[in-house]
Amino acid sequence: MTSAYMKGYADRQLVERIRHCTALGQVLGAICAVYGAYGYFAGMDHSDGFYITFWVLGSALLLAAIAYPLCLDSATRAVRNLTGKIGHFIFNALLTILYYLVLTPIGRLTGKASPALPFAAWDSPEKAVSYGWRDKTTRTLVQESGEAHIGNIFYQILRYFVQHGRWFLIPLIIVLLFLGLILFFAQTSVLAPFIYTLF
Amino acid sequence: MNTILGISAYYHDSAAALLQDGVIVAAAQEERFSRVKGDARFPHNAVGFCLEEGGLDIADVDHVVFYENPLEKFDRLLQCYLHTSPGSLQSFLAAMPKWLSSNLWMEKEICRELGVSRRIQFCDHHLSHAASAFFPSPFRDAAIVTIDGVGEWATSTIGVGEDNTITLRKEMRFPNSIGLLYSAFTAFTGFKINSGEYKLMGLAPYGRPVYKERILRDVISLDESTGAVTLNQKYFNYTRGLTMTNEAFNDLFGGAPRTPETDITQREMDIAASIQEIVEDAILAIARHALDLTLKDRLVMAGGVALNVVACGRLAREGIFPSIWVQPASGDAGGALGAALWHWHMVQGKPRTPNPDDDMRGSFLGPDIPPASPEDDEMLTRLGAVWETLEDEALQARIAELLADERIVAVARGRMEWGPRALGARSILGDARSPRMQAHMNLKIKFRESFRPFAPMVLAEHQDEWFEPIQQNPYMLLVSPVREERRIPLEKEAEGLWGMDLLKVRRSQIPAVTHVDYSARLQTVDAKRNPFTHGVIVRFMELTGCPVIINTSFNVRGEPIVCTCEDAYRCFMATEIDALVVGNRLMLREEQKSRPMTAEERAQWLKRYDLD
Repeated sequence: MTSAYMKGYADRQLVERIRHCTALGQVLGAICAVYGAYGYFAGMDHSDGFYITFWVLGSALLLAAIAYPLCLDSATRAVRNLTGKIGHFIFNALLTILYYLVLTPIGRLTGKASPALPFAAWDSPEKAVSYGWRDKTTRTLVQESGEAHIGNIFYQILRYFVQHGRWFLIPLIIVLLFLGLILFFAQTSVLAPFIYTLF
Repeated sequence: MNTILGISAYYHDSAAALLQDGVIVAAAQEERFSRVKGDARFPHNAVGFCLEEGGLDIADVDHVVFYENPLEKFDRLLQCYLHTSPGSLQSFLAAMPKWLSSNLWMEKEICRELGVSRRIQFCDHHLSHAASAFFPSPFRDAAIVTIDGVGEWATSTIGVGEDNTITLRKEMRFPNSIGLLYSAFTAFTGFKINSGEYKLMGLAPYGRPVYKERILRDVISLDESTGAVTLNQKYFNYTRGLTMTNEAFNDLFGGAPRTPETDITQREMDIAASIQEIVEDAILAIARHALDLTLKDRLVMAGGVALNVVACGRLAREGIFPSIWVQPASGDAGGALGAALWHWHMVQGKPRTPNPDDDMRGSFLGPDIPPASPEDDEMLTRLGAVWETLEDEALQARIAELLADERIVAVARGRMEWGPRALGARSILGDARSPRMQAHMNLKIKFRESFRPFAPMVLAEHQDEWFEPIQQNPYMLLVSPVREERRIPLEKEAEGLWGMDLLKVRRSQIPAVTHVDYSARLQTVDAKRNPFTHGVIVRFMELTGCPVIINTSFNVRGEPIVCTCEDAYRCFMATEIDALVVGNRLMLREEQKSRPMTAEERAQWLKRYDLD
């Protein structure tokens, strides 16, 4: 027996799919239709058939996006999959640059300042230190009532790193957070395929 | 009514638990519904079940609590990469996209998944474990020890619980971790991390601890007075790469890691024996240290390493603490329950009255298969099931007769267990006296390695007649040896045997549940927590004089334990189980309309489940 919560969850999933299909159909349909209409009426150098095809295709996509968006489900998945892979590749490239140009130099500097951290092999120049048992500081996050906002979380993250003496990481964290925000919204947004390709 | 929904997710074993006015109403792991072992995705099905059990809508829930603090975990990740760069790019690229796109925005992510817009509360990973161990325990005050792979920074903690408060006093920090050490050896011996650890533990008695000295000299430093460990990062790769160990580790232990599904050699058995002994020594030392720090005479434990029943059994027998209580869902799934309990007692400050029998209700907190229901009848009919319906007593007698006749009976009845152990509600039962049963059940029912031991269920009132005295153990979390007088002395030609050859030797009057070192992972069954199973064993004892039967989880290798009647019937028809009990229905294999799976179909079906 399906619970009310699971029914609600399935409904939300369905609405999400419809939104994605509608957005893709409308954006791609509008581009194709406008391009086809413009080329046909402006008398560009291709044959009329070429522009009419675009015009019809665009109009069909627009119609489908309005009348029965789920018929574009497979196409939407394929486009999201493809643009997701492109986005992932670009994102990894950006992360690699950050890793070598920002994180590694900071690591070198802070490593020199505290060489006794236990990430080293025992026979390396930086001898590992047994920390044994240390006093435990328990850090929980008890929130006031209200709504969760991205702004609150952003502020909370920055405050955490400043409060814990990680001020030297702030520039890196700000860049990472902005990249993360783009990804976070890209995952949920109907415009994800277009955001990824613009990335 | 004050309702709290606890959630653990996104690492492994995601789960949900619901408290209503401080009472544990429901708790379940997502894998049981999704049928994906160790499922780490958001536990929608488990949340749906908990809400249904509580008669609630998600909007009715007063507090949603997540089991750990993502900010502190992110801090640990960044610190780790700072100190391991430039050699940790691969790991950085594997972790960061997921963290930056969802884990870091956990509050928003949870709201999105639940379809709500509200604040989410965040506990601390080890505080969640500690809360899951102390608050439901029968003790007013106790020392607390949590040991696992890693939470935020802590890998183990020692604390104290008094009334409705927990204070975690000490922690061991990443990358020094007993859990990660054990997982590293689990991966090296060819088993899956986060689920194959119990195989390594089961393999240990076949080996000799010949690598112990080498491990203690080169790989770790163990402080014998406190149990603190320091891992020599020369041999490990988990702080910088995507594997647990590295080439230096391979060189130290005579070659590459064992490839999964290949033959297990004496090397793997000896490694298992060595690391098991070290972990036991460490846990005992930690317990002594906890005693010194807290001066309490009772101990509660949680965290994945607390599921090492051999170590916990030794801890119980050593008597460092006269009483020990271990949370049945000690892994990360249990964090969902702990986080909810933390909020109830420590954030809201609600008082606590310890229950002498504990608050876990036998750990039967999952979805129910009632004695009779039209929905289950309809589903079973559709699957081609043929059954007879019996009253409780008649059914208990029939099951006992079948078991005494060396038949294997699977039971899916009542509320599903919370935690990794099947305790009688989703169990396969067999005759512990049968010498052929271990190999038969391993190879024909579970389709798993023949070395794997089975656990006994024993009537609580007869426990000491068959096993060395140990405290009551209703959740199968402690190991105890079979009593001397129940053992069968080894014949002369068997004395020189070692490794897997030991399997051929009958070692006690209950050979199917006696491991090669005479140990048994027993579950004590009492009439209060588990009346139906208790009745079955009482009838079995009347027939045979033996109050011990085999209990193994109702699943096949790599499959999550069955949840619904449909899961149960499909598993029944895919294996060579002789009889199935669903609610009060009894089904015999030979009477079923649908034909059993062929070997080819079965091979195809087993492919759905990853090896662990």
